[in-house]
Amino acid sequence: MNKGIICVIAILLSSVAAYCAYFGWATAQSPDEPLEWLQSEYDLSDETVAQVAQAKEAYLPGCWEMCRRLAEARKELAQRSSSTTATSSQITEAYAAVNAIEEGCIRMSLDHVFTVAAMMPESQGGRYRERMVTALLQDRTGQHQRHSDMIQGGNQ
Amino acid sequence: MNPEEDDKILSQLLRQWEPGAEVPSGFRSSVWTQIAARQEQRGLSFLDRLNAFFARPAYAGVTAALTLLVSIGVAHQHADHVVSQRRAMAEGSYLTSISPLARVGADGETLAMNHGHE
Repeated sequence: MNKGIICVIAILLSSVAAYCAYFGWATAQSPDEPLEWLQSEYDLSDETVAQVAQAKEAYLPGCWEMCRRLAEARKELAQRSSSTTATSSQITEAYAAVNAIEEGCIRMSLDHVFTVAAMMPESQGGRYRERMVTALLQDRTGQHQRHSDMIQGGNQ
Repeated sequence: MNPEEDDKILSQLLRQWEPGAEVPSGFRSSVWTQIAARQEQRGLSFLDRLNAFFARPAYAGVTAALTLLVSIGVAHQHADHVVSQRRAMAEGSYLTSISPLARVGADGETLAMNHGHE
Protein backbone atom coordinates (compact mmCIF):
# COMPACT_ATOMS: atom_id res chain seq x y z
CA MET A 1 0.00 0.00 0.00
CA ASN A 2 0.99 3.59 -0.46
CA LYS A 3 3.41 4.75 2.23
CA GLY A 4 1.72 8.15 2.61
CA ILE A 5 -1.68 6.56 3.19
CA ILE A 6 -0.22 4.15 5.74
CA CYS A 7 1.25 7.13 7.61
CA VAL A 8 -2.08 9.00 7.57
CA ILE A 9 -3.98 5.93 8.81
CA ALA A 10 -1.40 5.29 11.54
CA ILE A 11 -1.60 8.90 12.72
CA LEU A 12 -5.42 8.85 12.71
CA LEU A 13 -5.58 5.55 14.60
CA SER A 14 -3.10 6.71 17.23
CA SER A 15 -5.07 9.95 17.65
CA VAL A 16 -8.31 8.04 18.19
CA ALA A 17 -6.55 5.74 20.66
CA ALA A 18 -5.10 8.75 22.50
CA TYR A 19 -8.56 10.40 22.60
CA CYS A 20 -10.21 7.27 24.01
CA ALA A 21 -7.45 6.62 26.54
CA TYR A 22 -7.46 10.21 27.84
CA PHE A 23 -11.26 10.43 27.93
CA GLY A 24 -11.53 7.10 29.77
CA TRP A 25 -8.87 8.11 32.29
CA ALA A 26 -10.34 11.58 32.90
CA THR A 27 -13.92 10.40 33.38
CA ALA A 28 -13.14 7.24 35.38
CA GLN A 29 -12.91 9.14 38.67
CA SER A 30 -16.08 11.20 38.26
CA PRO A 31 -18.74 10.41 40.86
CA ASP A 32 -22.05 8.91 39.70
CA GLU A 33 -23.71 8.07 42.99
CA PRO A 34 -24.91 10.73 45.48
CA LEU A 35 -22.63 9.60 48.30
CA GLU A 36 -19.66 9.27 45.92
CA TRP A 37 -20.33 12.85 44.89
CA LEU A 38 -20.49 13.95 48.53
CA GLN A 39 -17.17 12.22 49.29
CA SER A 40 -15.38 13.70 46.29
CA GLU A 41 -16.90 17.19 46.55
CA TYR A 42 -16.16 17.59 50.26
CA ASP A 43 -13.02 15.47 50.33
CA LEU A 44 -14.37 13.14 53.01
CA SER A 45 -12.67 10.09 54.48
CA ASP A 46 -14.25 6.65 54.07
CA GLU A 47 -15.05 6.71 57.79
CA THR A 48 -16.97 9.99 57.52
CA VAL A 49 -18.85 8.73 54.46
CA ALA A 50 -19.82 5.61 56.41
CA GLN A 51 -21.16 7.83 59.21
CA VAL A 52 -23.06 9.98 56.70
CA ALA A 53 -24.53 6.85 55.08
CA GLN A 54 -25.63 5.61 58.50
CA ALA A 55 -27.24 8.96 59.32
CA LYS A 56 -29.03 8.86 55.99
CA GLU A 57 -30.30 5.34 56.63
CA ALA A 58 -31.79 6.58 59.89
CA TYR A 59 -33.23 9.66 58.19
CA LEU A 60 -34.84 7.99 55.17
CA PRO A 61 -37.89 6.28 56.76
CA GLY A 62 -39.07 9.61 58.18
CA CYS A 63 -38.33 11.27 54.86
CA TRP A 64 -40.42 8.71 52.94
CA GLU A 65 -43.27 9.16 55.38
CA MET A 66 -43.16 12.90 54.78
CA CYS A 67 -43.02 12.23 51.02
CA ARG A 68 -46.17 10.12 51.28
CA ARG A 69 -48.01 12.77 53.30
CA LEU A 70 -46.84 15.54 51.02
CA ALA A 71 -47.89 13.58 47.90
CA GLU A 72 -51.37 13.08 49.35
CA ALA A 73 -51.72 16.71 50.36
CA ARG A 74 -50.53 17.97 46.98
CA LYS A 75 -52.85 15.61 45.14
CA GLU A 76 -55.73 16.93 47.22
CA LEU A 77 -54.71 20.51 46.44
CA ALA A 78 -54.39 19.68 42.73
CA GLN A 79 -57.83 18.05 42.67
CA ARG A 80 -59.50 20.90 44.54
CA SER A 81 -57.85 23.62 42.47
CA SER A 82 -58.91 21.97 39.22
CA SER A 83 -62.40 21.14 40.46
CA THR A 84 -65.23 23.40 39.30
CA THR A 85 -67.21 22.79 42.46
CA ALA A 86 -64.51 23.49 45.08
CA THR A 87 -64.98 26.63 47.15
CA SER A 88 -62.18 29.07 47.85
CA SER A 89 -62.09 28.02 51.51
CA GLN A 90 -61.63 24.35 50.49
CA ILE A 91 -58.72 25.33 48.25
CA THR A 92 -57.23 27.55 50.98
CA GLU A 93 -57.56 24.71 53.46
CA ALA A 94 -55.76 22.26 51.12
CA TYR A 95 -53.09 24.87 50.43
CA ALA A 96 -52.53 25.41 54.16
CA ALA A 97 -52.23 21.64 54.65
CA VAL A 98 -49.59 21.43 51.89
CA ASN A 99 -47.73 24.37 53.41
CA ALA A 100 -47.70 22.81 56.86
CA ILE A 101 -46.30 19.53 55.54
CA GLU A 102 -43.74 21.38 53.41
CA GLU A 103 -42.57 23.27 56.47
CA GLY A 104 -42.23 19.97 58.31
CA CYS A 105 -40.22 18.57 55.39
CA ILE A 106 -37.93 21.59 55.31
CA ARG A 107 -37.36 21.37 59.05
CA MET A 108 -36.56 17.66 58.80
CA SER A 109 -34.24 18.11 55.79
CA LEU A 110 -32.43 21.00 57.48
CA ASP A 111 -31.95 18.92 60.65
CA HIS A 112 -30.41 16.17 58.52
CA VAL A 113 -28.17 18.65 56.71
CA PHE A 114 -26.94 20.07 60.02
CA THR A 115 -26.34 16.54 61.37
CA VAL A 116 -24.29 15.62 58.28
CA ALA A 117 -22.41 18.94 58.34
CA ALA A 118 -21.38 18.26 61.95
CA MET A 119 -19.75 14.99 60.82
CA MET A 120 -17.52 16.78 58.33
CA PRO A 121 -14.36 18.80 58.96
CA GLU A 122 -15.38 22.34 59.93
CA SER A 123 -14.62 24.18 56.69
CA GLN A 124 -16.16 21.47 54.51
CA GLY A 125 -19.16 21.21 56.82
CA GLY A 126 -19.76 24.95 56.53
CA ARG A 127 -19.54 24.79 52.75
CA TYR A 128 -21.88 21.77 52.63
CA ARG A 129 -24.41 23.42 54.96
CA GLU A 130 -24.44 26.66 52.98
CA ARG A 131 -24.92 24.88 49.66
CA MET A 132 -27.60 22.48 50.88
CA VAL A 133 -29.60 25.09 52.82
CA THR A 134 -29.62 27.36 49.76
CA ALA A 135 -30.73 24.49 47.51
CA LEU A 136 -33.46 23.32 49.92
CA LEU A 137 -34.84 26.82 50.35
CA GLN A 138 -34.74 27.43 46.60
CA ASP A 139 -36.67 24.22 46.20
CA ARG A 140 -39.28 25.55 48.61
CA THR A 141 -39.54 28.85 46.70
CA GLY A 142 -39.93 26.88 43.47
CA GLN A 143 -42.72 24.79 45.01
CA HIS A 144 -44.55 27.93 46.13
CA GLN A 145 -44.37 29.27 42.60
CA ARG A 146 -45.70 25.99 41.17
CA HIS A 147 -48.60 25.92 43.66
CA SER A 148 -49.46 29.48 42.86
CA ASP A 149 -49.34 28.68 39.11
CA MET A 150 -51.50 25.61 39.66
CA ILE A 151 -54.15 27.52 41.67
CA GLN A 152 -54.20 30.30 39.10
CA GLY A 153 -54.48 27.70 36.32
CA GLY A 154 -57.31 25.94 38.20
CA ASN A 155 -59.25 29.18 38.64
CA GLN A 156 -59.05 30.15 34.98
CA MET B 1 21.34 67.10 -11.32
CA ASN B 2 18.03 66.13 -12.88
CA PRO B 3 16.62 62.52 -12.75
CA GLU B 4 17.10 61.93 -16.55
CA GLU B 5 20.82 62.67 -16.34
CA ASP B 6 20.95 60.43 -13.25
CA ASP B 7 19.42 57.52 -15.24
CA LYS B 8 21.90 58.00 -18.10
CA ILE B 9 24.88 57.84 -15.76
CA LEU B 10 23.48 54.74 -14.04
CA SER B 11 22.86 53.00 -17.37
CA GLN B 12 26.40 53.80 -18.53
CA LEU B 13 27.85 52.42 -15.29
CA LEU B 14 25.81 49.22 -15.58
CA ARG B 15 27.02 48.70 -19.17
CA GLN B 16 30.65 49.12 -18.12
CA TRP B 17 30.30 46.83 -15.05
CA GLU B 18 31.73 43.33 -15.32
CA PRO B 19 31.13 40.96 -12.39
CA GLY B 20 34.43 39.70 -11.03
CA ALA B 21 33.06 36.56 -9.36
CA GLU B 22 33.34 33.34 -11.29
CA VAL B 23 30.26 31.19 -11.79
CA PRO B 24 30.90 27.70 -10.31
CA SER B 25 31.07 24.90 -12.83
CA GLY B 26 27.74 23.16 -13.32
CA PHE B 27 25.85 26.16 -11.96
CA ARG B 28 23.69 26.55 -15.04
CA SER B 29 22.91 22.86 -15.30
CA SER B 30 22.05 22.74 -11.59
CA VAL B 31 19.64 25.69 -12.00
CA TRP B 32 17.96 23.97 -14.93
CA THR B 33 17.77 20.66 -13.06
CA GLN B 34 16.00 22.39 -10.16
CA ILE B 35 13.58 24.14 -12.51
CA ALA B 36 12.82 20.81 -14.19
CA ALA B 37 12.25 19.14 -10.78
CA ARG B 38 9.82 21.90 -9.74
CA GLN B 39 7.91 21.54 -13.00
CA GLU B 40 7.75 17.79 -12.47
CA GLN B 41 6.38 18.29 -8.93
CA ARG B 42 3.58 20.47 -10.28
CA GLY B 43 2.29 17.49 -12.20
CA LEU B 44 2.31 15.13 -9.17
CA SER B 45 -0.90 13.51 -7.90
CA PHE B 46 -2.20 14.00 -4.34
CA LEU B 47 -0.90 10.59 -3.30
CA ASP B 48 2.56 11.32 -4.68
CA ARG B 49 2.61 14.59 -2.76
CA LEU B 50 1.47 12.76 0.39
CA ASN B 51 4.27 10.24 -0.08
CA ALA B 52 6.77 12.99 -0.60
CA PHE B 53 5.52 14.77 2.54
CA PHE B 54 5.71 11.72 4.80
CA ALA B 55 9.02 10.66 3.32
CA ARG B 56 10.54 13.44 5.43
CA PRO B 57 10.70 12.11 9.01
CA ALA B 58 10.59 15.62 10.50
CA TYR B 59 7.32 16.45 8.71
CA ALA B 60 5.77 13.10 9.63
CA GLY B 61 6.82 13.50 13.26
CA VAL B 62 5.48 17.04 13.56
CA THR B 63 2.18 16.03 11.93
CA ALA B 64 1.79 13.06 14.30
CA ALA B 65 2.64 15.18 17.36
CA LEU B 66 0.20 17.94 16.37
CA THR B 67 -2.60 15.46 15.68
CA LEU B 68 -2.03 13.77 19.03
CA LEU B 69 -2.03 17.12 20.83
CA VAL B 70 -5.27 18.16 19.17
CA SER B 71 -6.99 14.86 19.96
CA ILE B 72 -5.90 14.98 23.61
CA GLY B 73 -7.07 18.61 23.82
CA VAL B 74 -10.49 17.70 22.41
CA ALA B 75 -10.69 14.68 24.76
CA HIS B 76 -9.82 16.96 27.70
CA GLN B 77 -12.61 19.41 26.81
CA HIS B 78 -15.15 16.63 26.29
CA ALA B 79 -14.16 14.85 29.52
CA ASP B 80 -14.42 18.13 31.48
CA HIS B 81 -17.93 18.64 30.15
CA VAL B 82 -18.99 15.05 30.93
CA VAL B 83 -17.48 15.14 34.43
CA SER B 84 -19.20 18.42 35.31
CA GLN B 85 -22.51 17.04 33.99
CA ARG B 86 -22.12 13.87 36.05
CA ARG B 87 -21.23 15.88 39.14
CA ALA B 88 -24.29 18.10 38.70
CA MET B 89 -26.50 15.03 38.25
CA ALA B 90 -25.01 13.33 41.32
CA GLU B 91 -25.53 16.51 43.35
CA GLY B 92 -29.14 16.69 42.15
CA SER B 93 -29.64 13.03 43.08
CA TYR B 94 -28.20 13.66 46.53
CA LEU B 95 -30.48 16.63 47.08
CA THR B 96 -33.48 14.68 45.82
CA SER B 97 -32.62 11.83 48.16
CA ILE B 98 -32.78 14.06 51.25
CA SER B 99 -35.56 16.44 50.26
CA PRO B 100 -39.20 15.32 50.09
CA LEU B 101 -39.98 18.63 48.38
CA ALA B 102 -37.79 17.62 45.46
CA ARG B 103 -39.24 14.12 45.31
CA VAL B 104 -42.88 15.01 45.16
CA GLY B 105 -44.20 16.94 42.17
CA ALA B 106 -46.64 19.84 42.53
CA ASP B 107 -49.45 17.52 41.38
CA GLY B 108 -48.63 15.01 44.13
CA GLU B 109 -46.87 12.52 41.85
CA THR B 110 -43.75 11.11 43.45
CA LEU B 111 -40.63 11.78 41.39
CA ALA B 112 -37.19 10.22 41.35
CA MET B 113 -37.81 7.85 44.26
CA ASN B 114 -35.08 5.52 43.08
CA HIS B 115 -32.39 7.95 44.09
CA GLY B 116 -33.55 7.92 47.68
CA HIS B 117 -33.60 4.17 47.98
CA GLU B 118 -29.94 3.46 47.55
